[in-house]
Parts: sequence; structure tokens; C-alpha cells
Amino acid sequence: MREELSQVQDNLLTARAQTGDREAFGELYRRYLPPVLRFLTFRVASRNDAEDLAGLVFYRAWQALPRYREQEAGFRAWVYRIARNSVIDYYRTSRNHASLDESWAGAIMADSANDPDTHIVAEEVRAGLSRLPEEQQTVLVLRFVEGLSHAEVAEAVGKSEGACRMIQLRALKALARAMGEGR
Amino acid sequence: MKAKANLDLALEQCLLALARGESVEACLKRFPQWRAQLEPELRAAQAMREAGLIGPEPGQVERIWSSVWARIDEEHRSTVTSGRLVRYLRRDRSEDWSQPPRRFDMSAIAATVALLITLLGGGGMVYAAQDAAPGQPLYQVREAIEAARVRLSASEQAQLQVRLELAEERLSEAEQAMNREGRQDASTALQAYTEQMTRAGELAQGLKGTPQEARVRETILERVNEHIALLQRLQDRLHERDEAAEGMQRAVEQAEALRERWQARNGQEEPGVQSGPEEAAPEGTPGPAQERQGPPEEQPTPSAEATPQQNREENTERNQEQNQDGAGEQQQEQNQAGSGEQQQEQNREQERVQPEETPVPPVAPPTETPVPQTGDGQQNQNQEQHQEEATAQPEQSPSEDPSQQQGPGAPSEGGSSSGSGEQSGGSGSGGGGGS
Repeated sequence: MREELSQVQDNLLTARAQTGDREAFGELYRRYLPPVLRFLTFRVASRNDAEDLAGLVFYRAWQALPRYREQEAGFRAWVYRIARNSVIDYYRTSRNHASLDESWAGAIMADSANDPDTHIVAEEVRAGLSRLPEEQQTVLVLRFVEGLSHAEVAEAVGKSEGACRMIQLRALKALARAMGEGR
Repeated sequence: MKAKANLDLALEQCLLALARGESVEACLKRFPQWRAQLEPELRAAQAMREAGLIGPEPGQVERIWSSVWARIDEEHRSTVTSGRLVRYLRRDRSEDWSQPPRRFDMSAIAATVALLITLLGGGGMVYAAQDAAPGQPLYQVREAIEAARVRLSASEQAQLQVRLELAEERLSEAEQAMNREGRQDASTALQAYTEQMTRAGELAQGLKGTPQEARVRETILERVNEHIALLQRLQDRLHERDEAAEGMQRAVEQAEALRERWQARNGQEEPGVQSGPEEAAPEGTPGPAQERQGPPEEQPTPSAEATPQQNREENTERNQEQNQDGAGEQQQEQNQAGSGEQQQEQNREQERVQPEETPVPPVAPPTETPVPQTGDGQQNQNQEQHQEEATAQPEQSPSEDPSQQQGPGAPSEGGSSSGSGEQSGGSGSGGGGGS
């Protein structure tokens, strides 16, 4: 019920933002920047890159809003799709990614806003995820880190729900193996 | 299998329980038989949930928000100050970021589209593009389709054949452009011709030492002789400072260079090639283009005949021009003796290939072309097939061929049987070689 209400609000905000209402778009940004930034943090090499990409994702969302059509999975899945495409493009076009050791882990540990234990777990997860194929990473992060439904994950990834469930099962096994080897 | 399904089901249920806030241990107690399998996966899932608790650092939300609006404002300014064109030029693919990213570059997409268009073989655009001249909007579409034709060719030899045909189409375009005083277009077409011939030369070089070499040599010389004759005729029409003069000169040089290279090769290898008793002609004697369908040993040398769209007068004139400037002993030989025999041979060959056809009128209209052979990937197959048919039916007499009445130098059946069909372009010159 709460999620449904949230989606209705999203739809209203999106409709306003499509007319050029910056305030409405700002509200959508406040709602979804934290999860999108987290998603990106798990997917790229450095926190700075995640931040840059997050800005790019919302800029692109603003540009693409006129063509946004209200859909079952909602604005959240839509903006994650943009984020995922941005990550794919990031890895395809970037040449000088910082390595995990020197950037992401150190930076996130220095972040005083979060619990250090959480950071350690996040670091383990991230290290395990990095050994998985891109699609599996996306599905796992969206499903378990971001808590999206199967339908939303399917919308964000552009596959059917059934396909996403299979990917999730395979990916979870692979992640468990990778994290087990990492310990 | 059933056990695995149950395990997957148990995992699903445990994941839902975790999402509701249950602990991993509580989930595992529900499925003790799968504890060993479930535990690592549930722990991984739980770790991800915990990792999801991390949030943005202070000030990060505002910082990113500023960067977003800086971009948007920048775009807005450029739109207002510079208009729609600038906006169009400045925009990147961001408007489509909700769609899957592009996997291919634009050239690959263009080639694919052209390939599909070619494969589907239909559509008004394709039809219109086939006749697009340099400078016309659909000319690029035509080029893309032609590039796809080359790529579709099954072998290097087939590619060579297509390249030569395309070169001839460019040549034909150059001529048409000059007829309408379109010097710039002529120059463009000649440049494209030179490029096609360069590529053709490279392909031919790659076939050196292969069993196809003799046929390749024959094809090259045959076509190039035709090209040079046509180019020289066109060159005579140009002023010294004509816009197309430079391109014309380059085209001539390219064609002559290719001819020289293969004539030299021809001279070196002639003895090994000439094995047909009745074809024991002097070196350089042009053989009919159509005879390439016959046994290879009968066709040791090229021909400048059998141009599909050029009439008898043009052919004679061209040969005379070549003779005057010493363009080739081959042409002299051909003028003296080869043309009539060659034409008869062509007709005989045509009869052998399609014995069920009613006699071909002396100048068959293109639509009645019995065997359009355009030099694409299928051409070589056709040649080989015809070759087999010819050898399988040797008793069929070609003597009733009405086209013998045409006398020497008549290229029309060669043209009708070889170039017309789909490609008028083959047209220009040397469609005969396409046979």
C-alpha cells in the first residue's frame, strides 16, 4: 500500500516534471538520488566516478522526460535503467578507471556518515560482485541492495520477470561462491 | 531435477523471509535438509541488504544536484542563444538513455541496414536509390547498398567481379554527368571509379597463384581495356582545365596501371594457359567475354567486346581509338578477326546455356534478357553451372543462331545476356565481362 502510494506520487511528480516543472523534478531527484548513487557506487571503480555518473543520470533523465510514458514499473525502474545504461557506457568509453584498492574502499571507509561495519560488509559484497558478469551484478544490486521487485528489476534490465528470476538465482550462487573464496 | 526445483523454491521463500526481516538462521531452520546449500546464498543476500544501508555523504546530494542543473542550464543557454541547430548538434545520445545502449557504431548500423535492404530486395527507396546519381540525396544510400553487395559476395573472386561492375557503373555515371555538363558530379564519379579499381586491383593481387588466376586475369584485362577506351573518349571531351580533368587523368592512370600489371603477367604465363587447339591464337588475342563460361583453356585472353549498352558503332570507334594510340595489340587483333567469331561464340554459348529459349532477336531488349548476369556472388556459380551445362550438352547446335547475322563487332547479345538485367549500370561499359 505504501509502495503504491509512492508510485502514485511518482507519477504525479513525473507528469509535472514533463511540463518543465523543476521543483517536481527536484522532488524526484531527492527521492531517487540516494539509491541511484548507491547502485552506481557498487558498480563503478571510484566514488568520484559514481558521483559524476549520478549527476549524468539525472541530467539524462531530465532530457528524456518528454518521452517518458507512465509504466507499470514506474519512474524508479526507469531511472535505474538509465543508470545501468550509463554504467555500461562508462565501462565502454572510460580508459583510466582507478582501481578498487586505491579509491573506492579507502574513500568509503573515510565516509563518516555511515556505520563502519556496514562499510566492511559493503566492501566484501562489492569485491564479490566485481567478479560477476555485468547483468548479474545489476540484477543482484537492484534486487537485494535496492530492494526492487522482480517486475521493477525486469523493467530496469529490459528482460522478462522469469528471465530475471533465473539470473538472480545463478547470480546469487556465484556471489556466494565468490565471497566464500574471498574470505 | 525435482530436488533442485525444491531447493530453488526454498531459496525463494528464504529470500522473501529475509526481505520481511527474518534472520538467516531462522530461514535455515525451516529447511534443515538444504542448510549446506542455502546458507552461503542467504548470507550473501543478507550481506547485500546490509550493504544497502550505506547512504550519501553529507553535501553529496546538493553537490550532484548543482552539477545536474549546471548541465541543464548550459544546454538551455545554448538552445536559446544558438537555436535549434546548435541544440541538435550538441545533444548526445542522452535523450535515449532509457533505451539499451548502442552496441555498434554508425557505420556498422548503416552497413547492416544496407545489407537488410539488399537482402529484402524491395522497397521504393532501394528502387529509387539504384538510379541515384552523384549529388542526389539517395546517392549515399546507393553507395551503402553497393558496399553491402561487395560484403555479401561469397568469395574474393566474386568480390572482384562486383568491384569491377561498380567501377563500370561509376564510369557510366561519369559519362552521364558529362552529358549533362555536370562536371563536379563527373569528377565525383571518376574518383569513385578510381577507388573501385584500386580495390579491384588489390583483390586481384590476392588471387595471384590461385586456380582462379587465369580467369581473373582475363576478366581484368577485358574490363580494363573497355574502361580505358571509354575513358579516353571522355577525356577528349574535356578541356584542359576542366573540373573533371584531374579525376579523369587519375582514372586513366589507374586503369592503365592495372592493365599493364596484368598484361605483363599474361605474357609470362601465356604458354601454360593456352591449351585449346583452336584457340592457339597469338598472344593478346582477345577472346569473347562469354567464352569464360566455356572451358578455361579456350579463353586465355581478354576481350574488349561484348559491352552491353554500346552499339556497334561505338565499339568500332573505341577499337579504332585504341588502335591509333597503340592501346593494345589485342584490340587490333580483335578488330581484324575476333569480333565476328567472338560474337558467334557468344551466341553459341547462349544457346547452349538456354537451349529451350526461342531465338533471341538481333538486339534483344533488356527485359528479355535470358540470363542476367550481374557479377554478384551468384555470378560465378552461374558461370560454373553454365559451364557444366555446356559440357553436358555438346551436341546442341548453335548454328541457327540468328544473331550471327549481325556480323563482326555486334555486341548486343553480349550485352543483352550479360549486363542488362537488373543493373543498367553494368551498363555503362563492359557488362559483357560481367557474363
